Amino acid sequence: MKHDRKPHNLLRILFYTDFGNRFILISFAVLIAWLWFSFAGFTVKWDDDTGTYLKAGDMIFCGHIDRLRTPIYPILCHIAVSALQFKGFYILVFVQLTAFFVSLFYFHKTASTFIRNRIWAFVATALYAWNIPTMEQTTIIHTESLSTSLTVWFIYLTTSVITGHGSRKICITAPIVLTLMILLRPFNMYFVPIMILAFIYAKYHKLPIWQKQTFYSFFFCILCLFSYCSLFKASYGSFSLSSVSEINRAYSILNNSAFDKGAIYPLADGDSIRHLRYWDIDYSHLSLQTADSIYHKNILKYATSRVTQFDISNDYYFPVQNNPLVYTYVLPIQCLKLRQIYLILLIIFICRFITFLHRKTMFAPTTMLLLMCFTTIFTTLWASAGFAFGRLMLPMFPCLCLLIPGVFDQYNIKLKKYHIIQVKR
Amino acid sequence: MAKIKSILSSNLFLLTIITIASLVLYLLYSSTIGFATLYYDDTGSYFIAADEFMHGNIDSLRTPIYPLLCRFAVWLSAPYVMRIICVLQEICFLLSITALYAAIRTFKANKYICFIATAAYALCPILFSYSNLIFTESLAISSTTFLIYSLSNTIFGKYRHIYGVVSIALLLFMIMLRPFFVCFIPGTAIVILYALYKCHNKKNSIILYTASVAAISLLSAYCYWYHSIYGKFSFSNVYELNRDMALYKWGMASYPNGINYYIFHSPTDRNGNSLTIYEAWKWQPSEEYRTKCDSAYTQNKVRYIKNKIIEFHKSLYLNYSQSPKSIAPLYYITRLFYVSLAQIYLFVILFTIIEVFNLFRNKKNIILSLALISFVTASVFTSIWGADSQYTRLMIPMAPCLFAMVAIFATRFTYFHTKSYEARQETA
Repeated sequence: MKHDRKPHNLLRILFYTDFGNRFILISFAVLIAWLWFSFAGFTVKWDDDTGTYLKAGDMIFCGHIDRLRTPIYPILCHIAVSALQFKGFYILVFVQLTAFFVSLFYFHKTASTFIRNRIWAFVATALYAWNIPTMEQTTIIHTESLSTSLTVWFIYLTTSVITGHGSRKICITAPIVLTLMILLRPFNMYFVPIMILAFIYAKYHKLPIWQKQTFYSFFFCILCLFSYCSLFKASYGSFSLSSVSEINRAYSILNNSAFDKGAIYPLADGDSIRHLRYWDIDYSHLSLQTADSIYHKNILKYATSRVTQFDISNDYYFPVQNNPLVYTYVLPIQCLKLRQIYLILLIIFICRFITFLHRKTMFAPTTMLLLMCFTTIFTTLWASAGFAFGRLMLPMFPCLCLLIPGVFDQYNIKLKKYHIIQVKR
Repeated sequence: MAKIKSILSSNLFLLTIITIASLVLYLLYSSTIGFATLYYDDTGSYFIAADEFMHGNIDSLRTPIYPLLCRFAVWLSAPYVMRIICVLQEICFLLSITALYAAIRTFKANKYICFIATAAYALCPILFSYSNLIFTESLAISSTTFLIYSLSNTIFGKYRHIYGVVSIALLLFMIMLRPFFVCFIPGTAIVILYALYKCHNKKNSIILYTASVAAISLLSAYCYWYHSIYGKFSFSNVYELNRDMALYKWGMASYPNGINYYIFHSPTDRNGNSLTIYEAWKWQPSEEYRTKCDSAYTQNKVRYIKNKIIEFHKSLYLNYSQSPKSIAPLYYITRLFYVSLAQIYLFVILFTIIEVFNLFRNKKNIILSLALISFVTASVFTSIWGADSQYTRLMIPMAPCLFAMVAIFATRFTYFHTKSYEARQETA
């Protein structure tokens, strides 16, 4: 009598369907988050940037644009803090955590789209979903956490376009998501060429891109950004989204922060007052103008100094906020030094390049993810003040989690099967 | 032209290139430190130990090989003794490159994997930089590589019994070089037992048995001799010294540590010159001190173990890289080898899982892998348990095992490029 070897229905659903895989991934992510926050403590963390968002929120609600911050995050901070003062940050953290868990769904959808092997798609999502440093970032009041979750959504939309799974809704939503990302964090502006290249690639390969609707969506988003920049120019004299690059440049050229007056943002927390120190820029300070003039006169020297930045960045851990690491068992295993990540990216790039030369195949999703990683690294090194590499390069993290298993799948790297030869005596 | 092409692609030629490249990098590194030899107060303790051995006694801390090597170098030329030892250590390292290559070839690895693993070992600045340090680490690295070579031939080679005897002799030599290598006994025993099991020739089995018994007898004889002088059946008191220093560091003992410094004057060499070392030390604790430390350890055992677990935890963040930054090529090469101990532990766990999977699913012979895993885990445990600091230096003898494990790991996978989306869409 033959035994029925089919796995039980529930097990089959859990391990052999996308729904089951996502259920496992998200459940375990929730469990890990719960365990981690139980042991490490669930507290809201803030840094010198947090106060700048609160101040920007106040300005926006008074009808002005802030010079340093784009509007989305300050608006969220202002709403949360107006409701519950310091305790309002917990609402924000809850929003960030929820966005993170929702992003897991889209992450797995993306992984399933271009990774054939179910196991590798699962591994890719697990690398992102079960990463404690990334969960830790959601408890910090800064844009990086929300930006990372939105980056996952962006990757999902763009990958759908270039793999021919782009529906009308996806093609319309993609530019809108990117605009939101830019208004959340101006850094994301550097993903615009990637999106444009994705649509050009899709058009070249005659993939469905709903030309008319996509065009209108692009037009609307460009109009939004153009209007914002025009308002910024009317208020502050330069056609830009924010002056944050100028400030970071001044930090790195001058090596001092004489233009930072420093200010305190008081927030009520029950019966006590919390004093959030933040950096308050005196834009009329002479040193800022000096830094700007030095930069424009000698861009080559500035570019050379970025090589030193690259050198310094090698010793930073990723994807953690700061050095040194929090003293736990988990983080040394879940973090890499940036130099190791650069090496991995270089190896993947070389493999892709050799494959392209030999077989003339581009494998667009991998190329797109590599481009996103290189763009993130370049932007951080060019525009940052030089001490928060791990945090600023956080949008690269989902790309890495997809890239590495994707390469394993693409090159069909798997355990050898040895044939056992039985000799009859 | 065809002949030149065949020479250029031959294994011997490539191996020669790797060895020369290693030597060039070593000279480049040495030039950054002005071709100086590096020695610390521990070095003096080897010279003092050599005096003890030459007078027919056993030193309480040091096993005989390295002190006798130092004494031999003094006999050759006292003013250049450090340089002679450095040169000898570097020669051993260069020879070990070939040994590692030959070892990896025995498990039928792909040619490219063999050369990449060998090149990584040969060009790792962290390893060859120890040749300039008058400590046992450099010879420990080289001898571990030779041991891996002889063990791999014991398992896969033609003359198993001969390589088995060589492995046993080599391990005996290594223990006499550095008592740390006692932790390699289980791994070597696994291989020797496997060789005995596979040995169908009675004569060869007898040879292996005899060699094993002889090695055990020699080690026991040394321990008995040590016991007759110092009252302890052991090779060395170095564990006790490190334990007492740890007790002192953690506030469980507060007594003088019994380390006395001397100015050491060596005997004259063949030309009448002698060597003076200004900071040689000897451990001479009083009986009272030893009794108090023993009782402090017994009373605080739980706390001691807890602190050791914390030390293991701290070791997760350490890494092997140590070379100086002054020459750009070497600095960037050193950075390539930056791997934290946490990542090494993770790799070892993954390697173990893959090998066990291969054993049960594919019925592969994983005896060598088991031996290597045993060496690495024993090294980690012995370093953390037996020392109070400088874990990365103490764990350095396991480095050749890691390179061999990476090579074995790479041979367990197959890879080829799959069709891209474009190609699949075209065919669809």
